[in-house]
Order: sequence, then structure tokens, then C-alpha cells
Amino acid sequence: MSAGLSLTGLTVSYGPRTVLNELSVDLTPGRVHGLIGPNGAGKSTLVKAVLGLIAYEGSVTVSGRSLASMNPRQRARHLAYLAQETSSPADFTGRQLVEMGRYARQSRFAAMISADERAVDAALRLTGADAWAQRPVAGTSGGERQLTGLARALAQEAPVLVLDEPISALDMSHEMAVLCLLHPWLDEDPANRLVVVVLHDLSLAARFCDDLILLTPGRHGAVIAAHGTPDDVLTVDLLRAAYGIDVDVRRSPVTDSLSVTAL
Amino acid sequence: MVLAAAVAVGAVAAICIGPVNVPTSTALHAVGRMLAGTSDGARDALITQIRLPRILISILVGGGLSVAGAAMQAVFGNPLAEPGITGVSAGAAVIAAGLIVTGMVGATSWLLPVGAFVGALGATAIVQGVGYGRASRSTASLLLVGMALNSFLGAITAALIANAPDAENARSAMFWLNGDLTGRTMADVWMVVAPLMIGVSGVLFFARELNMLALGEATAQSAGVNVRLVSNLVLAFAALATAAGVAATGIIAFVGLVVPHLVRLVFGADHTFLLPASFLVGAIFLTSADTAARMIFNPVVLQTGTITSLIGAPFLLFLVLRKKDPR
Repeated sequence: MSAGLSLTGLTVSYGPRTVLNELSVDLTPGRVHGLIGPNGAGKSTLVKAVLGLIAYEGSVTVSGRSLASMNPRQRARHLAYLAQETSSPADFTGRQLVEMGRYARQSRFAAMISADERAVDAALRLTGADAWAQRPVAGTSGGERQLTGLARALAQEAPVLVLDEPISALDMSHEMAVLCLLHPWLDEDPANRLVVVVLHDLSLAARFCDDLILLTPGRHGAVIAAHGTPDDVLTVDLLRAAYGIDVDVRRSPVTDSLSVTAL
Repeated sequence: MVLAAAVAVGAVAAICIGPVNVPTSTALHAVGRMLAGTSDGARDALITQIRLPRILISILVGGGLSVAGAAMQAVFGNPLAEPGITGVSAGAAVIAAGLIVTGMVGATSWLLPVGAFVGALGATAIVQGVGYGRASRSTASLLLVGMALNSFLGAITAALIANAPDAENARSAMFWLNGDLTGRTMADVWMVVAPLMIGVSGVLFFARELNMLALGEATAQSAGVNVRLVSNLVLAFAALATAAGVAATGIIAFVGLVVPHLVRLVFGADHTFLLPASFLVGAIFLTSADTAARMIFNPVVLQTGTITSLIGAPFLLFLVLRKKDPR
């Protein structure tokens, strides 16, 4: 069994309709894996299945251990998740929100121990959320909230981090703030950690992801149309087939990564 | 601590205030004699047999309904969820009224809260089924389900009462439709206290998980909370607390709505504090409402449920209107 996150024959059906059709892919540690594809291709369904929120056939394993056999507490120690937007009860401070990330590692009546404090501090520092950690989350901006949410996920200290369209509600400075954190976090423990991030912006995906998985809707549910480096996946032909429009793909002299423009 | 003291002061005040005012010392002496088992029957009856049980019931039921309301608001992620509005109280009432009207159990049998619990649980299951099934947990759909349940179950309750074979039973069952604390006895207190406290404690046990539900279902689950299990257990405990209250007082609406919101405004949304504070403020609220019910139009006595609705319905309107304001 490989390290990292592996999907084998992952199939999800809503009633008679198959949404994901026998997806198999190995995601290796030390890399940022981008999940791309048109609307309705099943990216969110794939994320929900990996999180154990919906029933599926096939298997999802982290370091060879099946996620389906774990309870939510055990799963939370293997896999952390950041949603599109971070919500919080009105008056929790940033720090209190990040402390919630320690839930799966604490017993019911125990207070925060030093390991918890360390993980919370480290997550706040890495994301820069320590700057507003003492303020109520509801009073911070959407971008600050999302960085606080990312800190909460990181405080879980799970090797696999799953982000579902984490920047779709952010301005470009906060887009950068979130995406620029992924590699520094990976590099703290590249032999074990990996990131799966759902992105719509293909140029950002090319710039911040080491590998891309292109999901496309098929007659019998979504399939993986391509999996590889951005250079392998972001081709005019593959993107035309997936999105149904023509695109221009060229290397940006500024970022030295591919830039995709819809035509 | 301050709140607990306020409950005690409020209770003593409520004992003394009424159509017949009693000096505080007289009232406390009467309660003291009752605890010592040396009640002076005729002299103390007003205090120990009429007002004290009524006030103890209002403390328990006000607290229980408030905790149930706070719990339902957290689980449904909906600020308007509350046992009365969602139809959970109506579910408890229909079974309880049925048991009484058909003469299957007496008014203070332990079977009454059990039956009410079954009814409350059934109504909860329906509300929840709609919430999960449609994947639409919007405020509107929850209120619509509650409205449908309240009308339907209220109609059944009304029909049961109207066709009661025994007029005496029918009169005693009337209060199921609009909660009332008149004529409660210590037997009612003993019937209510255990199931209600179990329900409240059960909800309190999950305070931390209720905080995390505010992160959203997917995030809470990914952080290690068994969302489905916690939701079901908390709703079951809330149903138990509601059912115990309804078995003793009938449907008292809006307490579970008004109180948690007031507590949130003053003390914040952390459930480890919100839930116990809601219990205490709910106790004060219902005791006050009940005292007001006895007093306001003296000698006309209003039902307690009428008072809470008079306060609660405008408050509901306020919450609905405020939601439209952009932050």
C-alpha cells in the first residue's frame, strides 16, 4: 500500500444516477494536488465522499488505511478539511475557532494541554491569523476568516489537507495569502503531508499545484480525463473536451507557469 | 451564580405575590415547615400546596424548554427553531391529551411523560426527516413543517378533547392547547423533575459539539464530530425535556425562542455557558410570566401560555425582520 491518499474504484450514485464512475488515483505525499473540472463534474461530490459525508463504493485510503473503517474522530486525525467559506458563531474569537481543530485529539473533560497549545500557536503563526486571533471571528473580513479557518484545519495536524474551492470568495491578495501557505506547510513534513485543493482558476491551479486531476462529466458519471503535471493536463485539446470552449494556453514570463485564457 | 441567585429571589417573590399577598417571612416559614414535615395544613395551604408547586414547575419547565430551544437552534442551524414552533411540543401534547381523555392514565402518572416523550420524538423525527431529506434546512422550510405539524396535531388534540367521554377529563385536558400552570401539585413536580433533568443534562453533555456544529456540517464532521449521532441524541434529549414540560403544563410556546436569544445577546453564543444560562434565565422568565399571568388582570386570570405568546410572538416577528438586514 502506498503512502498518501488513494482512491480505488470510487463510485458514488444518487439513486439510479451515477455521479462518480470508478475513480482510481494515487495522490503522493509532498505535493499539492489540484482538482479541476467544469461545474457539475463531481468535484464537490468527490470531496464529500473522501470526507465520509456520503456513501460510496470502492475505497479511500490514507497511508493504506481505509477511511470508511474509521469513526469521525479517527478520520479527523488523518484528514482535515477547509470549506469554501468559514462560518463561526457570532462571538467566538479566532483563537477559540482554531482550538476547535483540536477536538479529535482531546478527551471530553480534559483542558487544552501543551501539545494543543503548540499546535494552535503554530497554525495561527503560519497563517498569520495570530494578528486577529483575539477578536471575534464575525468581525473580521472574509479573507481573514478564511485564513482563520485554514489555521483551524492545520491545527488538526492531519497529514492530508482537503480544500474545497478555498479562494472562491476571496480578493486576489487573500487568494495569494491562502495559496502561498500550501507549500510551506507541506515542506514541514514532505514525506507524509499532501494537499488536495479544488480550484476553478486554471492559471492559479497551474501556478500552485504540482499535479492536476481533470474531472469531466460522462454519460455514466464523472471520470478522470487526465492526471499529471500542469504541463500534461492543461492542453488545448483536453480543456476543449472538458469545458467545451476554446482556450489559449501559454507560459507566463512572470510566474514561469502556464496561464489559461478562455477564448 | 448571579443568575442562580436571581432564580431564588424570583421564586421567593413569586411565592409571595398573587391575588393574596403574603409577607416573605410567612411564606418562608411555611416552606420551612413543609420541608420539616410539620406543615400547618390550613394556614400554609396557599403557599405549600398551591404556589410552591406552581413555581417549582415554572422553574423546571421554563429552564427545560429554554435548553431544548437552544439545542434545537444549534442542531438545525436555525435561529427560529423552538419546541413550540417546530411542532415538537404539539407532538407531546397530542399523545398526553389522548392518554388523559381516554382515561388510560391519571393526570400525574409516570406514563404521561413517557407518552409525551414518544409524541415529541415522533414530531422531532418528522421535522428532522424534512430537514435532511430535502437537503434544504432553510428557515422557511422548518417553519412550514412546524406550522403543518402544529395545525395537524392541534386539530387532533382538539378533536380528542371535544369528543372526550368524560366532561371532567375534557376540562382537565383543555390546557394542552394553551399551556397553563393552574392547579399544579407536588405530584406534578415529582413526575416532571427526573425526565426533565435527564433531558437537560443530556443536552449539556454535548455543549462542545453544539459549538462545533456552527462550523457547518461538513467542517464539524471533518474535525471529528459525529454530526448525525450528536444531532440525533441532542434532539432526543431536547424532546425528553420538552415532553416532561408539556406533560405538566401543556404547550407553552416561545420560551425556547426568546430565552436563548436574550442569553446570546448578553453572554454570547458559547454553548458551555449558553445552555446553563438559558436554563436559569428560562426559569426566571417563566416564573415571571406565570406570576404576571396570575396578576395582570386580577381577578381575571390569564393562562401562562397566553402571556408567553404575547411576549414571544412579537419577538419572533422581530427576529424574522432583523434577519433581512445586511450585516
